[in-house]
Amino acid sequence: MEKIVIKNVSKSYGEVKAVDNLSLSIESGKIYGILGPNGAGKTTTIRMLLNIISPDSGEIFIEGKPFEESMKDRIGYLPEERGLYRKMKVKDTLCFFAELKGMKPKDAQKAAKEWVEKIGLEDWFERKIEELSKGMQQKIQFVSSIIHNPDIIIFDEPFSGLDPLNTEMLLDIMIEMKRKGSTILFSTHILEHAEKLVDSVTLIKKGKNVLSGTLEEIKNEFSANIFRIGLEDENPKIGEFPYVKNLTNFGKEYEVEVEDNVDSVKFLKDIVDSGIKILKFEKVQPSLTNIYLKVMKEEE
Amino acid sequence: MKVFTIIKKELKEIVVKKAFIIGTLLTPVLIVGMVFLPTYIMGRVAKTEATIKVIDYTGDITSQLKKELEVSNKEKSKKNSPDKDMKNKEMVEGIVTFKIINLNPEGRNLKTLEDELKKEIEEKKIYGYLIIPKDFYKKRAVVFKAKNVANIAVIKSLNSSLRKIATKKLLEKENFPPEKIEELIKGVSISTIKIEKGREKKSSFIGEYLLAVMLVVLIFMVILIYGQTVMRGIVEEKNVRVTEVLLSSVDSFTLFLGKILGVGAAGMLQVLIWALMFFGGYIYFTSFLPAEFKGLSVAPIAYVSFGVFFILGYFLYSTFFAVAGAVSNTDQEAQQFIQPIMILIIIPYLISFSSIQNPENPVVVALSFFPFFTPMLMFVRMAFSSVPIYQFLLSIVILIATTIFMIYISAKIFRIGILSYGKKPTLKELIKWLKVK
Repeated sequence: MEKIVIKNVSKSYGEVKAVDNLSLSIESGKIYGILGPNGAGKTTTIRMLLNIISPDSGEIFIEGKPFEESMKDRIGYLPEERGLYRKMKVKDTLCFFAELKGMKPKDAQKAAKEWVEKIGLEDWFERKIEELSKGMQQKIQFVSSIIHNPDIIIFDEPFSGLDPLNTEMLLDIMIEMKRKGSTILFSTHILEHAEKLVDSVTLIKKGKNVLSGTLEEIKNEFSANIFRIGLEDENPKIGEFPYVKNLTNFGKEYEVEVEDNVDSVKFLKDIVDSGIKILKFEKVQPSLTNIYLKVMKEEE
Repeated sequence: MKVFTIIKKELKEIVVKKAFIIGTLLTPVLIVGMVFLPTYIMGRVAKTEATIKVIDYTGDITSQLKKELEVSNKEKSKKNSPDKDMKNKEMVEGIVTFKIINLNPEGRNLKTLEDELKKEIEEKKIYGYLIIPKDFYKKRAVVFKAKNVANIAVIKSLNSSLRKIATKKLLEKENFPPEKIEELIKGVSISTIKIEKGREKKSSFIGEYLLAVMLVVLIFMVILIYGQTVMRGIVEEKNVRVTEVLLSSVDSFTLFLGKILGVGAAGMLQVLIWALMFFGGYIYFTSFLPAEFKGLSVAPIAYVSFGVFFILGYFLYSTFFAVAGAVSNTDQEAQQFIQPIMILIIIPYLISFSSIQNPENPVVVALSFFPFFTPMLMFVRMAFSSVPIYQFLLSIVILIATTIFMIYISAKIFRIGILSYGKKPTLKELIKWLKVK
């Protein structure tokens, strides 16, 4: 089922087209990544999705309905630019954001307490935000965005500026929220995290959707027929088969791109028949980074 | 209603601060100090203790003078003189406590005597000395020598006492019965009533006048202080980048309204506490005064109008401050934006003071309907003259309509301003923002 549908949405700031006829659809219960360089229109897309700004044209649906103010209570949002009220206590901060999402003060307080215990900041509950370290403040910020247990989570560049421990905590939180059934949308330009997390991705460039699909679909689409072959010794004979298109030598390993109609069985058989001794034979899938770089360069 | 969550947060943020608590408790003390300390000091200064030596060539004046002046001392020292005008006169002229000492000039040289007395004046042992010649009853002239002969209270008291003594003597000579004489020379008291616009005006107690002036100052201060609090709060939210998170939970209008109402609630709470303190104090102090001092000479509706204008004035002006905060990146930038607003606040403030004397001046009447001036000017008119009720209501209607219009416009600018960072918008851009759907 589709949780969020963005249909032909455009938004301009003066002369600049921030988002240009963009369409996306995000399935319920999945983690969806919006990838793209800085200035590609990720944040603008997210802000339109939250109805913080409205699109110049196009439509956005959540569960098939146009955006309503009441839907905000079910959405958790972590903006790219972070910040909290410096003079406010941790407890008051969490309760304030929870109550703004429609939680009752009593429930908000209970949830706040549970969460600070979970992230190990219970000793800081009554302290002011400005007394906390940067890392602790980041933790409070995550918690404040999901304290109301939203079923749609939108994180804008969630990993930027995080130390490794907080990165891991955030990954855990995202996976846990997915397990609970939440739909998660996040933007990033750090592709290693995206590759580990996402079910589907969209690549945006200059406000346009240049590629989207499930991770598998995309990888298949970009899978050239590439094999990585490990040999006992260097042997350039491996490149002498007529269907080899490309050969890259990594010393004792070769990356060999062959014609599309050649499958692994045929290629392996031909190698064995020719008497080349192999230690490793592996069909390689392109990484998200490879695809990203390829797409972004292509489009230029 | 999420607007209450924001109101609660804003209110709590201000009210639990030490500055708010101390300010709320200390301000009345300071104001009372500022108002009553000078009066108290003036009262002390105006109290003269005059020791006067009398060189009496007639031989029988001094004892009578002593009786007259020292008796009136006793009368004056009786607290709470019911004579309001007497009291007012004392405020102006001061109170003199006399001590009269008789000097018998017989067998002494006037010059050496005077030299001695002059020395005593220099040493501040005595205030001055009086020379009463032998032909006093005939010529009715005396000489009074003192360092300070400008003290009206001293001269007046001496004059009236001496006149009484002379008159008494004359009447006695004419064989009037003593009790008739007392009646004949009794003074007359005048109570004054001011007529304004063909109506008797109860002369108001000075404290009440001050109270009304203080309320004008209060409207001015509250608009300034709490307006700026709204402004700084919005700039802070922009700076720490909380605005976006807030907007993912509430719409910009709720945020706008919540901030204005929340900060305003803190201001109203403070004023309410002050009002209770002042009226409590007022009732407590006036309870020592006789009945005619009790009650308020400023019409109660003026106090009602204070509440109305205070609240509406705050709302009208706070919309400006909210916009100034929304379009700025720093407090300094915001200060530049509010300069035109400051002029709109200061002008009625200054006019209101000059219009206290003549609140029905046609210019003041006309300006009191200009909504940005209404809170202060209409209140001054309400407090110091009698405004027709339709004018009062009309000014409120104009004020409310303007406030609603301002809220509508500023919420639109606010909505875009709070998400705009970087350079300050120009006026042209602001107008463009208004047109954004």
